[in-house]
Amino acid sequence: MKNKSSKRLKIILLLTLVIFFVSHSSALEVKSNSHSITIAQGGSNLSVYSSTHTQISTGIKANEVLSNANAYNTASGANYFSSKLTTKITIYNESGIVKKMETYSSTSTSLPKSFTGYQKLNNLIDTWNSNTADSTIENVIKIGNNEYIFETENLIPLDNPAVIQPPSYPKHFNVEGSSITFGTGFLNTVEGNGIEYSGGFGIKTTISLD
Amino acid sequence: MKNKNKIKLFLTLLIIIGVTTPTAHATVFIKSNYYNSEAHIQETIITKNSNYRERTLVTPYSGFKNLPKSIISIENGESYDKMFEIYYKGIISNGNKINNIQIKTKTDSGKAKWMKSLISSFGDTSIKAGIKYESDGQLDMSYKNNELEINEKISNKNTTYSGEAVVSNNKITSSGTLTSKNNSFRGFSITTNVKNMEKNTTMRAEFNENEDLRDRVTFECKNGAEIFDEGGKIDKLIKINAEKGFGIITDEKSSIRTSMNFEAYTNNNEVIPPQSVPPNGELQVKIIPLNNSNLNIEQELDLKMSVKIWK
Repeated sequence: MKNKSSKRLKIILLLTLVIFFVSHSSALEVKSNSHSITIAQGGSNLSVYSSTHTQISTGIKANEVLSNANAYNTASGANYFSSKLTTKITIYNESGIVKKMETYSSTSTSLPKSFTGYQKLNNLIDTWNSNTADSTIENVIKIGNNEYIFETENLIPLDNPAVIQPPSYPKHFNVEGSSITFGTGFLNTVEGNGIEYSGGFGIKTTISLD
Repeated sequence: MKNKNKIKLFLTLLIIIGVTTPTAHATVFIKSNYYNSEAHIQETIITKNSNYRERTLVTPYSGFKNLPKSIISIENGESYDKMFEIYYKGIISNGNKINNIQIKTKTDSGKAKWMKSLISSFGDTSIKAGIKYESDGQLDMSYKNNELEINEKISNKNTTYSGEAVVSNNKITSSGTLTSKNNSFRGFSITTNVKNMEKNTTMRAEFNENEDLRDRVTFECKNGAEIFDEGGKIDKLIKINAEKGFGIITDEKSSIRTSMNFEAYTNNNEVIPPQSVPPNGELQVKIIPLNNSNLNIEQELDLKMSVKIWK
């Protein structure tokens, strides 16, 4: 009888410990990575909006965050196209202060005739390995046999001066009256004790013909 | 009671219509008291290198003919020299209720216009002062009422700051825009300090050019603060635009250094950790010539900060 009771007690203790560790480890950190693909076609007025929201709850190591979001948009037969991708991370900590980080990339084009094109966006916030927010954007526009490529990458360290790489411009861009605008940026929000702060910066480039 | 009755009788018999239109040169100090059986008003004005006019009407609270049953005081003025100061303090005591406002502006290189209106009638009081100004140099401003306070310090070179502020007994607003001139080595620093609901918050925006960038870059900074008894907000935005033929990149050998900072305290304790844009750093920007002659390329770099305050 004694042995049986002792075994039961051990099992209960073991289960309690397992439950304790499982509940605490999940309460300490929840990570999620998401990947989204959006495809849109046709129409004279086409608009695409992609948003990925990763929520991370952490009690101690609030700086260890990794989030990656990708979007791939295509448009065919359209003469207007716009797209925006936003990556958001929310961190809750024990002192009641909420931190949010957001990177965004946006592209819009206005072309005088039908075109085929795609836009590829990649937003990465990595505070685990490199402590940076990295945003890359690539646009390819095909009109007839001509192909135009725009590409830019921004690296935004969270604790150092930021680096914004200059965008690459197409060598030939001879479609009369057309323009393309693309931009990337970073926004940081902190909320708690009756204050909501948000601060960030971004760069926007518009290319057109005279 | 006897004294009160005497005062009432005295005020009923007496109507004061005061019109004062002094012209101030150099420094002028004026202290005034107006009262009837309803309210007591104290005003202090100190001004340097400015003209101002004031008109005050005091009638008995019980009324006289068709005149309003109130105290009304209107003032306006303007600077006539680049170095000027205005300090105004008004207090209305109405029963147990006391409202006061203060407005203070000092510059070494600007111009300003201001107005004040003060009304006490049927137990209601309202006191309001507004100022519009423009400067290129040092500008110190302070606005207060019973519970709220905004202090702003602006230092700019080869740029123009235009702004205005309104102070009333329950709200203070201040807003302005800084624009670049076509000069070399431009820069500015704008610091806004707000005190309300036991919170002491400060936001700062800075921008400095290390080389001659006229015809290459234009910029502007929007500045705003609004506070009331239950909350408020502070905003700053810097926009940097490269002229045609030039692009913006970041580089350690920078042409421009710019940053924003924010901190908030309650009784010397941090409300939230200090923040900056870019995070813990300074944005160093280089302006480069672009070689795409057949393309029209426009680039804009924005830095922004926004804060909401509540209980």
